[in-house]
Amino acid sequence: MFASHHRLGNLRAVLDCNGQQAFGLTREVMDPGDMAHRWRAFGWETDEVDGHSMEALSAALSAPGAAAAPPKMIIAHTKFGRGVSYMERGEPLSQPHLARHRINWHYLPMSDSEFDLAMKDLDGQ
Amino acid sequence: MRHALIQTLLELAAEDERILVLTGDLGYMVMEPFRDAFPSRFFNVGVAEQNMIAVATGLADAGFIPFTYSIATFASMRPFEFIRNGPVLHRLPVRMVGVGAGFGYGHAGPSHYATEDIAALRTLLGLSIVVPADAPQAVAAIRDTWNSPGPVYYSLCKDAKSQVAGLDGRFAMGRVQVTREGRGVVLATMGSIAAEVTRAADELDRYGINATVAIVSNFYPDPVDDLRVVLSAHDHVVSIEAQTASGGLGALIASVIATHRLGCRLRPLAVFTPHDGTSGSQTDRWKKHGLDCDSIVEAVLDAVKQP
Repeated sequence: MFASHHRLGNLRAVLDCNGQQAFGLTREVMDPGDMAHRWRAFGWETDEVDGHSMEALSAALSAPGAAAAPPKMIIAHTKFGRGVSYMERGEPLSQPHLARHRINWHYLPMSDSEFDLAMKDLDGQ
Repeated sequence: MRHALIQTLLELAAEDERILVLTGDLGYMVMEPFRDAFPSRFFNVGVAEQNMIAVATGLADAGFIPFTYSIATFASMRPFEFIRNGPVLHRLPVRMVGVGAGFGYGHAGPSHYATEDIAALRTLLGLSIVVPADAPQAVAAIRDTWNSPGPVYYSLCKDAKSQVAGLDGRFAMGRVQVTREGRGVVLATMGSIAAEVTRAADELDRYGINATVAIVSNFYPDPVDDLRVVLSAHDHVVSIEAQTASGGLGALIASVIATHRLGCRLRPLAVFTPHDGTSGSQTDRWKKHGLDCDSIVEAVLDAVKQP
């Protein structure tokens, strides 16, 4: 509200929108609905991009802003665990002493073999 | 302590249907047993701690006993004024649980260091603060306070498995628990660092110092009478806490000594320097702030040299 009230047209913000909260998916924990709609209601302009595309992010960030115009929220849609196969699939770490919670990899250390697999996935990209 | 909390809440909730649990989207891999056992009494309010306290205030006013849950910094300081204007001013039985007391979330960095929560909340008169030293004491404290009429804040450590020798799960509001009887110097502490303090007391034996260990586990009512008795019986007190020097246990002890004109000399060990943006394990953080076993031993040896 402050930024739109003062028409901070040279302000850009990026929202990393991965749809994930600590306990589960955002839409299941506390669904915010259409995020772009929410920001527009507060007087911001919005731009929705693929958050994994450097070109799309770069274009959105470098588009010229105007003085005395609405600020812009770049809603970057991303995938949680992007680039690591088992994380993208929402599979838990497979260490036998760990409970098989879907995103335990977000909280707990990976084993050496899980680390090797992750690095192999990332190197292959 | 987190798992001890949930286990205790499961047992209590089975006996009393007024008990509810609200979380600010934290407690993954901890809270699920309660959610699964009592799905209609478990609310994930999202990352919205102020609203969590507001909702809990309304629920308490409606006759429920809501437990709110988050990491200690987010549980206490982000909704500070909501705590004040809600359960404190209305004298309602909201139970606020903050986990990761002190440097429990060491690797997560300063945003997660709960080194001011107790000092800040001690200013809210009418809010009881419970700081268990180990899991058995946490269970005893929750069982002792869950049905008390006013609001309670619980500062719980994250994962400490060690138990404090001699504590044996003892807890009583307004009291101090002495876990080791010595003479000359008393080590006064609170929270899970008590295990480190106990190690230091054992280490001091090698230097011919037989220290008393006194554990403070609650504020409001502050355990002033017990502190007076313990402090009066010793020439020196070294206070140890993973909390800011202003407003925590050391501050209380200083106040008791000054107010009651006691002869006991105080050496406060606490967080005296601002966080510098670095992070590390809890043990690393204790060492950095002079709160680990070696630093405690060194401070005691120096303190007792003073006349």
